[in-house]
Amino acid sequence: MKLKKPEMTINGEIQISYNWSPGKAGERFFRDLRDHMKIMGTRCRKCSRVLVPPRIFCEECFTDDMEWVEVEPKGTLATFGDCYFSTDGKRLEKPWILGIVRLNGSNGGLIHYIGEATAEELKIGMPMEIVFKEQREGNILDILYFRPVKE
Amino acid sequence: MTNRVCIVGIGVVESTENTAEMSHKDLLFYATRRALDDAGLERKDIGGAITATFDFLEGRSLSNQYTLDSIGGVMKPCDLRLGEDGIYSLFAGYMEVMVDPGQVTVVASVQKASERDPNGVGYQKLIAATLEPIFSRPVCSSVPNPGSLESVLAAMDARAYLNRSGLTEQQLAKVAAKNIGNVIQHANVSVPGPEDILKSDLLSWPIRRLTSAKESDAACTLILVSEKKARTLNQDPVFIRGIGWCSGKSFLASREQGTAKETKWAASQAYHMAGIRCPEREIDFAEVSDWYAHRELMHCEALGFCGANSVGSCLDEGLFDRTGALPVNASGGLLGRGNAVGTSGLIRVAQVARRIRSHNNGFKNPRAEIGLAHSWGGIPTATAGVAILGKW
Ligand SMILES: [Zn+2]
Repeated sequence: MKLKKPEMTINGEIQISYNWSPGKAGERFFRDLRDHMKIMGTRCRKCSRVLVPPRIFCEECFTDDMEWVEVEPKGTLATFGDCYFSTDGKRLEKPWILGIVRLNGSNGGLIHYIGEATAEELKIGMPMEIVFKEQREGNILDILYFRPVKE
Repeated sequence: MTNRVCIVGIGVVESTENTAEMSHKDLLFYATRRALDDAGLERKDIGGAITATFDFLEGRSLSNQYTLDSIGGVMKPCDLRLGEDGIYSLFAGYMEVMVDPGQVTVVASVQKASERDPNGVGYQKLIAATLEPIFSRPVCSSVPNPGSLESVLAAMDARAYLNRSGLTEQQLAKVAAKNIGNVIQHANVSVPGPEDILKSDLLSWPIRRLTSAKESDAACTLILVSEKKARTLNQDPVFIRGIGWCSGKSFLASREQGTAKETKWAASQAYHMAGIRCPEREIDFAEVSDWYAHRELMHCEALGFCGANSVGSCLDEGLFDRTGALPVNASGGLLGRGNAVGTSGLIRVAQVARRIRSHNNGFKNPRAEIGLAHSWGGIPTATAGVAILGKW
């Protein structure tokens, strides 16, 4: 069922740009990612959960009693999805894959690209690791992608 | 409860009508006019007016200012706008009537998807915009083909669910065939079987063209009054016996994948309020969000429709069929009728209310008296609402 269009339409558009603040925790996360290729999380001193991405408060205990901890750039694959089409509907030679990876020792996870693997080679629960970008700028795209851990 | 809240007016405009020729405001006007006629009321009777849907999708900021005249709400004492699916207007309206049992409250929602972005990637841009902007959005809005973002995110959700539950792609196709079949069974058209569903375009495994609902235009208005007030009207009231809503963690990647915890919580509130202990026996039929085929099963499970059995065996045994013991999406659901995002939840309430009212409801059990309407906010949200309606 294709939606019908009326004979006459009035064209309009809304374009607004924003400058989002990553907050204190986000700043530290992106600085350590850019300068040291480190993944930092915050641990709640009450419940011991480690949040990645970090936040200055724990939403469960509702406290800001947190400390910084470094997290391994490794985790497990929680899920993934692949795309086989280009914008014009042609089949891609190399599909792109998005996935969610839970970082080891943390209660959080990141959504990012999955590389160096085909969808057929991936399995939920398999170990993954981060591949960092060479020239880093201080944002989430300093992570290039996750790939399966090589034996 | 001595003075319960009930629905006395139902008005719906769907894509089966020529919505292209109606403006956004006209759509809502007709839904409201129909609801008033259904209740035997006029604009002068309206005490409060509530709308719920997503401004971003409508492309109008503060859109209640813009839609108020379409629901008879100009210069009325209570105008309220909720940035959520339409079912939330029912929840707010319920509370308004509880506070002032003399009041007639109009709750409404409209969505005109056909007005958005002729190039077709507008919805995908909006999905990217609903993601948390610091850690998730830069990744998701940089994908090589933004037109595929929704199906890839839905596939991630579905894959985690199939992995956890052991359900198969064939079972997802069964859900889609059931719901599409529920709409066209009376028309002179052949009903697609699961094998036809599995032949439809694969968007991102296991999401296919026919296992994901297409966007549609729609408007829906319901009129709520107290039980006492309903006795002064001619329309048979449908009672709102329980309501509940809930949202999960805001950050997609930190949620447990492949579960619908928020639906479970929303349902437990609604069941508690309605005094329902055993939903699989006490709920006669349900309209459940089937935005994607796997979501219908995930939601049925979370709503407690399967008791001790697996959702897969319930599906395979035909429990959720139109002729089954607990028909799910007998209206055709979103897969069969189209999904007016942000309005469809209120439409599910309207469908349940209509079926409770009708003497011949099309079910094996014509005495279907307790129905459940469920709404889910869609990818990438973790928000759900549940309403339980009854004849008494
Ligand atoms: Zn804590």
